[in-house]
Amino acid sequence: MTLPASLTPLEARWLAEVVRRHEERHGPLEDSAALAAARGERADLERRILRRADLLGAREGWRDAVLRWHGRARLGLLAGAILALLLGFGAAAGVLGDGSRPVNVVWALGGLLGVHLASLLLWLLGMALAGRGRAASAGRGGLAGRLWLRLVSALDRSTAAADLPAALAGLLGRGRLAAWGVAAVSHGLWALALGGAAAGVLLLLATRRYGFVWETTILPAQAFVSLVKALGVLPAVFGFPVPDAATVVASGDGAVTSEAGRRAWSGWLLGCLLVYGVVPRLVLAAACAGLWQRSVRRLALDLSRAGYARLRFRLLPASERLGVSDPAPGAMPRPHRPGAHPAEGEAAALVALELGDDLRWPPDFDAAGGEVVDTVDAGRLDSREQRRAALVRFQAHPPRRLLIAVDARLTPDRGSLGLIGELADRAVQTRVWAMRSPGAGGDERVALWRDGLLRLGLAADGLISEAAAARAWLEEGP
Amino acid sequence: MSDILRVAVVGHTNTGKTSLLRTLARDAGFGEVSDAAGTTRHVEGLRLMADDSPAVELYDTPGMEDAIGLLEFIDELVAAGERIDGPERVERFLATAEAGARFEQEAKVLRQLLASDAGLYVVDARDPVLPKHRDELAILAGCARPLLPVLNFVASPAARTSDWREALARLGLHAVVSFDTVAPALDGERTLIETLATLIHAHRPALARLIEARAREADERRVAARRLVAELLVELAARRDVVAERGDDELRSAVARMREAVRRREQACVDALLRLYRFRPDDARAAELPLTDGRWDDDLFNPETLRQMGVRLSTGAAAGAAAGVGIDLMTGGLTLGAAAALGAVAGSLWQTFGHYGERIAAKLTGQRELTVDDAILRLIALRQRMLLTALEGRGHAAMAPIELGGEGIPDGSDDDPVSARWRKGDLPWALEKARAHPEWVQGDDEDRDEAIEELADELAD
Repeated sequence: MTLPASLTPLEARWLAEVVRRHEERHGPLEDSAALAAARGERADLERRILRRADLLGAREGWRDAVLRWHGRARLGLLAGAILALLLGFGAAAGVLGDGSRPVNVVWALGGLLGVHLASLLLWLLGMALAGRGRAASAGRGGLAGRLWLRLVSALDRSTAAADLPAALAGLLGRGRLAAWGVAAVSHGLWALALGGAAAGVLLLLATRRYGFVWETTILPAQAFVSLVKALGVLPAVFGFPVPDAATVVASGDGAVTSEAGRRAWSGWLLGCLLVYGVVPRLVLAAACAGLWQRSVRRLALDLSRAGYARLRFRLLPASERLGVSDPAPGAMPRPHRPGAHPAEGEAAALVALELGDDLRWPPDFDAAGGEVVDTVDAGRLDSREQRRAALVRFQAHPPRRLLIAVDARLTPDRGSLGLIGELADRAVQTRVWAMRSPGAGGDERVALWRDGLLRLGLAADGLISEAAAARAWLEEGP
Repeated sequence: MSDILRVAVVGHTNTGKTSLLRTLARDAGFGEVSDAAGTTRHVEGLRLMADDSPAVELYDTPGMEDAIGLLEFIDELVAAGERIDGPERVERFLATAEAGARFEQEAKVLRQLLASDAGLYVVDARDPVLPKHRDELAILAGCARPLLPVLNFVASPAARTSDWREALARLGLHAVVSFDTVAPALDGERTLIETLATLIHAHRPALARLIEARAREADERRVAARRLVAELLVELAARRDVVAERGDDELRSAVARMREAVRRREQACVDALLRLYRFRPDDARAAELPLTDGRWDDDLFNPETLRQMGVRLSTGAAAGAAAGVGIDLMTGGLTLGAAAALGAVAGSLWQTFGHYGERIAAKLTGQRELTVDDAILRLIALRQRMLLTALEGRGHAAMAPIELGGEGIPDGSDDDPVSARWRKGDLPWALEKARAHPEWVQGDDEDRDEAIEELADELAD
């Protein structure tokens, strides 16, 4: 599937969050095609999740909604920018008036910078507080951010877009991303508004004649002289003129009419507006935009979210099966079937085959009725040599009754079953005794022994599991 | 030949080779497992992935069943006085007709080991050390590949771990790993892979990547699992059902409805957890969890269940048929409690006003509200934590149900502090907050996410 316009990294993650939220609430989406596409490429888990979300989002209409959203958000920003410029211009016109009255320099400057400085102070305070505590609401961009989300979501009421704001808020809430974004936008808008005001001031000063005054009832003139001088220090660095003390004092008595005085006041006003208004907002906007960019670059999905963790083994399996490389044989090798038994035998005999060393051998028949007389103990058969010796011995002197004790906890394997078969060939009658230490479990594997002995051709009652029964059989019982 | 590390998993029959592969591969459907000899009769491979790149290939082989006979056979292939090395002896055996007949299974094992860089020799530690095992190791040593013995079933009381370590050391195998495929230790897999890396130096980076990927994955899964449980608790705490009518029948049916909804929600969480840990709801292997068919045995609202988990029912709710459901009868839902009210204020003043307004209206119209009782929240938290622990600590090969703390009824004295807090201490602040936010049942709130995050931390050990 080819998709139009690829998503930015932020949009891609946003879309992934939308898909995750939907799946966590309404159950997994059908995703076989998306899964196959995502697994096809060699990439880490996040990339694969993004790829899957991209395909699923395109199918469900969320992808378009995200793109629409972003377009609308840009449009909103543009409108905001124009509005800010106009507002700034309007503020300049309002503050300077139509030239019929002289301009009060203090009120003019306060009118142009007052609200801006107050809001800047508030913002700085908010940042400091958020930096200290875990103030989550600041991390999410505060009131302005929420308002913006509400506003943009109010414009798109389609079902596809319903989940977008929450997903974005959740995504940006981490790492103070939203805070930087909202700050960059608001500083930018302020810079535009103040820039508009500066342009308006410049235009009006260029095309109208204004007189500049200051007024007071109780303050000495010297206060205004030092105020103007103090405020003018920074603009003067950038080459803006500062009215000298004589001009300032003269302006207290009435509007200055000399050209030099008017120009000095104009330059001072404009300089203050630019240096205390436009420049700090521009710098902050750039800084916040930089932080926003950095955070967006670092933005990663929280892969420990259940909705993503669930995808891990589907998108990035822990293992791949390689298939059977050496197939099973048609028939499993079987121990040799017992051949002819000797017709006559000598005394009864007992052996222990691979018995655990915690089981006593020779067995303790005391509890089961005392020592069995007239039996030969061929000992434990573990190693090759012991096995050989036993076979040679029974070949020469076949026993009448042979009791083979095995460990009921072990799994009967081909080797031990084969040996049982060979031993049985050398005795008139053979029984196998599945030994267990009293109280221990191991019943499950007794069944395995029974099956193995049946395959070997021994009678169904060839397996004894009680000591008493074993002793009775040795003593020529049934 | 590829440059990926290839490891053959070999051993005596029925020692858990396929189980080991299942556990390492997180693939509960790989091969076939049963308590019998010769379940696996073929060689099957799988590739362990570190993120998106293969780290090691493992090959499951049939069990060796007749090592004594095979060693005898191989010894006879060597003429007296002839000096040939191990691999050549094995090659000579593989060229005989018996390698395709009587010793077919063993031949598969040896062929695969020769084609691999190393072998994992799986041992059932409950078995006694027998000469047949020594013969097996002698034959395998003939392939001249590094062998790492892996002791399986070490968690069983019948395990003879020290016997095996001693016997293996006598054969020159000093690097031995204990790895119980039924109940692997938390760092068991890591130890296994690390030890393997010390034996095969050239493939260390790939194995290190594998360890790192697996650790990251486990962390993510653990956090995700806790979040799921936290979400469940927050939603249940936030739940408020309004009963409009005055009659007792309506109340009774509303209580029944609520209980059913709570049961279903808990089950949804269990299902999600099983999915997260890759236990399918209908999976036979899910039987190893404290669940039956993926469900809790004991009903949530049975007072006996609460007693068993050591949770006390709060006094008011214990009366009558409505146990486990808190009912605001007298006040129309104004008994939020100071803590919840404060939490609501901290959360959002606006919404709190809204809710109180609604409640005052409810009181005037004679409605009643049902909430999930604290005791039920405690019970759910406790048993979901138990499930988390069971899911964390156990492998994919387990086949028998685990005993839930033996026959003992937990009295709160012998268990961990987190459980004790959930049993007796105050409910976490996040839940108190949730009580005041009925809209959190639906989700879609950033404060809710924050509460879930907070609660997930409370569930951690």
